[in-house]
Amino acid sequence: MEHLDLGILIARCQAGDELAWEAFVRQFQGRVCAIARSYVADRDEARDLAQEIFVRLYETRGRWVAADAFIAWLCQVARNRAIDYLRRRRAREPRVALPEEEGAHVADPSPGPAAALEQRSRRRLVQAALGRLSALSREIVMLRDVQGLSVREVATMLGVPAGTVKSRASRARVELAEEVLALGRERSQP
Amino acid sequence: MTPVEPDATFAGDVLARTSGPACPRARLLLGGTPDAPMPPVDRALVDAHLERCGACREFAVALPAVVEVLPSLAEADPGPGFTARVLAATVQAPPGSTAAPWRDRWLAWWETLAARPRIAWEAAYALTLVLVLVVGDPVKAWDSAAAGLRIWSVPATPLSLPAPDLSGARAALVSRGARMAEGVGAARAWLEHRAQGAAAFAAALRADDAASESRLWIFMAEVTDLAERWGLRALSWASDLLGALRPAPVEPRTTPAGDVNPAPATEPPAGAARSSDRTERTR
Repeated sequence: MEHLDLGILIARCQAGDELAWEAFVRQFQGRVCAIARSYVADRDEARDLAQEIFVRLYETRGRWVAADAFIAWLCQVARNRAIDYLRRRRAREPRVALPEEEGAHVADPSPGPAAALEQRSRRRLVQAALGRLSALSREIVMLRDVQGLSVREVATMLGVPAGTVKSRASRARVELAEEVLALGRERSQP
Repeated sequence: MTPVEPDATFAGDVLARTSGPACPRARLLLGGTPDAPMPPVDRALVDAHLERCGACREFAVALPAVVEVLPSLAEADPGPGFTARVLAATVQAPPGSTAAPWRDRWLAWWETLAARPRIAWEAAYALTLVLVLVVGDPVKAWDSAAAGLRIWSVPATPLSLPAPDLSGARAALVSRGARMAEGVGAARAWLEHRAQGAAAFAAALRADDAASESRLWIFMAEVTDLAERWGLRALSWASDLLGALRPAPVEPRTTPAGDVNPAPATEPPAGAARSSDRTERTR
């Protein structure tokens, strides 16, 4: 599906256009599910959380921000909802990311079967390595490198200085690459 | 004198006895450069390190591949039926049911708050502190308010007016007027007492002398004590209210002897309680 202009989509949703809301859900469900799964390990639970996030977005659609700041704001809403969800479950920190066998559910529009297999295998490895990071490192990688938010946006969201985000992001990338190498070595051993 | 070429492990031995291996520093520099070029000096130092360190060479190859994969994790397949579920929970819900009913909202809010006991406690404490500072001891305030209500309400004993002789009625009216005046006086006295207390508190805040300060601390200690007692009571009320709002699970009653007893409740029926209340009121 071709994505509509975000500003128009937001305006239509705020005006109560149900078709626009459906298009909005389809446009952002992948992103919201990815964020939910970075906080909740279980796939069904992550779906429930993602649904809660959309219901919350629908209820507060009168207060959505403008298109240029919308993605960061959406990530913030999803993160807040995920933290509330974890709190309700009495879990104090984000859980390990996807179990390995569920990595196959990641959306993958790769062209050829061989390339798709290779890509999927790399993604599984990275996803498993993400699950081994500390909660803060995983969150920074998710927001900065996965969701593509700016340093300033991540700093605002986490309530820390921009310099801290930069240094933590560098360290988190190093940790992630080291975990990927370690996982690769573990798997290559008989 | 011809310089002697040390063996391959010499530099490693020196580093081990001085600064430690340089690998973490090299990796940190490599990890911080996906979107910004490394300064030339750092680049040269890292390259020199990579020439000698096989583990970091492997790391330097793996890191860009990992960073390249990350954006592809931005979206996850929500699975079949997800959009339909979201739409069913939002636009396709029956009119008026998009927003949760007030009871569900209240319960959800309370559960969220209860999941943060420290914040809940601090909020209850702060609110109670404000309440105590504004109205004083809530027990006394409540008693005074209740007394005022009793004074202004219809007397418990209905007036009986003998037809020809109005002296009884006059006496009852005089008595009632006296009680009203007494009530007004009590209310005024209570207000004056609170005003004096507030003035003393303000004076103690302004004064620097030790006596005022000690009075202030005693006052604050009393207020804190009251706040704690009323904070606990407020939490208890809120929990009771929550329990009352929740549908009670149907469970067989168990006698102290351990028998399952499905007998009806021992409390009198609601109608009986109301009739006894009526009796009490007309007495």
